[in-house]
Amino acid sequence: MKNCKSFYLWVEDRYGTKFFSRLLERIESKLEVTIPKRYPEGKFIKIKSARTVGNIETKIDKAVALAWKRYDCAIVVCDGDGKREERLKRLNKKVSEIKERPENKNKKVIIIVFKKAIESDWIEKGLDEKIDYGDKAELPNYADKLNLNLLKEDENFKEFIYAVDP
Amino acid sequence: MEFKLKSIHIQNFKSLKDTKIELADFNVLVGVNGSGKSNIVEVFRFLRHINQQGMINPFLRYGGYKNLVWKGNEELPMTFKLNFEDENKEVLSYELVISGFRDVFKLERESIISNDFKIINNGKNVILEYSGQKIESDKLKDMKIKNELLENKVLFSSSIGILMPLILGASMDLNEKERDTFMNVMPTILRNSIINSTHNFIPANMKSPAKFESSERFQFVVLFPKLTNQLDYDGSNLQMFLYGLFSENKGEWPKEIINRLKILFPNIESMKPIPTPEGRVVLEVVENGIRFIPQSISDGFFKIMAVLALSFEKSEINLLVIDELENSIHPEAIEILIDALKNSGKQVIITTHSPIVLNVCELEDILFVKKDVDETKVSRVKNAEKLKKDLENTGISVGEGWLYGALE
Repeated sequence: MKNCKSFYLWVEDRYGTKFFSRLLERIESKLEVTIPKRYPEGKFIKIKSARTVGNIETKIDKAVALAWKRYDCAIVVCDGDGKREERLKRLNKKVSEIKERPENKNKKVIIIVFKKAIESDWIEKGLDEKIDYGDKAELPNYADKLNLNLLKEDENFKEFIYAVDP
Repeated sequence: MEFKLKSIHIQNFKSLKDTKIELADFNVLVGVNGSGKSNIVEVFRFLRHINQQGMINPFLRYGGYKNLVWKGNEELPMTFKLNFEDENKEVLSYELVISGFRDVFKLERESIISNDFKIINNGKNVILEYSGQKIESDKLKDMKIKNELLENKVLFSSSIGILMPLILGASMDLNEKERDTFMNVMPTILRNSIINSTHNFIPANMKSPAKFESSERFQFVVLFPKLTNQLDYDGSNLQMFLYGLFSENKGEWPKEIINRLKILFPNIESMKPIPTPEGRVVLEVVENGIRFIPQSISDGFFKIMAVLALSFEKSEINLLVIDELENSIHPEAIEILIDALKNSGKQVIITTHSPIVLNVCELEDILFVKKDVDETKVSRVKNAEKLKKDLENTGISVGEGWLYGALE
């Protein structure tokens, strides 16, 4: 995304933060996308879980408003649980309210909502097989196994790449 | 069918004058200091304590009966009633009534009641009934049970000596299905309540190299061989407990633990409990090529290890009770520990003062503990669905809602 030299990535839980941290490394090495410089930690990229402060639905406006104070862009990723459009509309509405403030006029936010969940939308697609959703703590391990070429045509994945590419 | 502890009803134990608590799979007790949360935790510790091998007077540890009974009134008996339910809504109840006037332990009444049978222990005799029919006492006498063995004894505290022969004697006249039901009762009550795993961790104690044995003894190892490896109340034998877990898992850590540790401590390269020539166990951790001894490792690490190990060890214990889970733990680790406990397959009761713990829980998990004059009362959220929507619409998290006083 143009002029997005640093970003705050907000995901649903702590397993998601680790997954996206590893996924960004792979996107950089496999897809040759230059991710904003990762170190020192927190200066250009911050990946945080929403769970400890509440949930994405409740806190998106505050998280995005705070992200804009220190980062060029805010990226929010969450599950749609079969109600993607409905959820996306609600989240966009909450963000649009803070975007109307003069100080946020040129700020950027990307909201990515999976149709169902990351497991079915990206992991199964990237592995080209059905997986057993046993322990959610397995999630970060899948980031190393995904064939990213299989995700290239996925609308959400394309949007994510666009968002993290400065 | 697997029974679970559905509710407890406690009378005259500490601040629990007449306290009923409905339990779910995951339960979070919140309340101000002195509301009685830790007294609820203590119920489970006491039930475990009274059933320890060779227990003669369970009040000694507490400095006497007056320190346990409500308002120090020694004339009152204490009652512990536990109700269990399985998926088919079959019910099973266990009741224990004891007193301790002038610190003399007396078993007033004890009963186990299911749809089909009753076991009543009045401190002198044990009466068994199956489908309304009394099991003849002479048959029990044939089992050579001496009256003095029954005198003032809690059934489970001497289960091998008393309860097992009684059940075996009684089961002679029963068919196979009836016998199975009968024989299943004792392990069910034990696993889901009495032999619980109750803790208030003290990190400084957890760092000490552990001896090869636990401080608490049970006879139930005949029924549950894995009970030999249990974590002590304050976690002081943690390193031994981890050694048991590591050995049982063929010299590896369960993957559920490893996956979570990799997130919380990404720089740890290896971790191994090592027996010492002095008969102790020391946990050795290698991080970024440097070998650390327990005293050099953070308090939070030991507490995290304890909760993860309790969550994913495969013993027969089904009930975990942890007082003040959040102490020494980073918020992101709290999130992972709550998830671990929820995925442990065990029934869990925790206490907390932390809004972060509440944020990572569901509204339905929360139990409010309050002191009403001098009695502890416990309640759950009313109309959780509506409250969830109200919180979402106002942009308030569950933890904040609790701080605002908006959940009750």
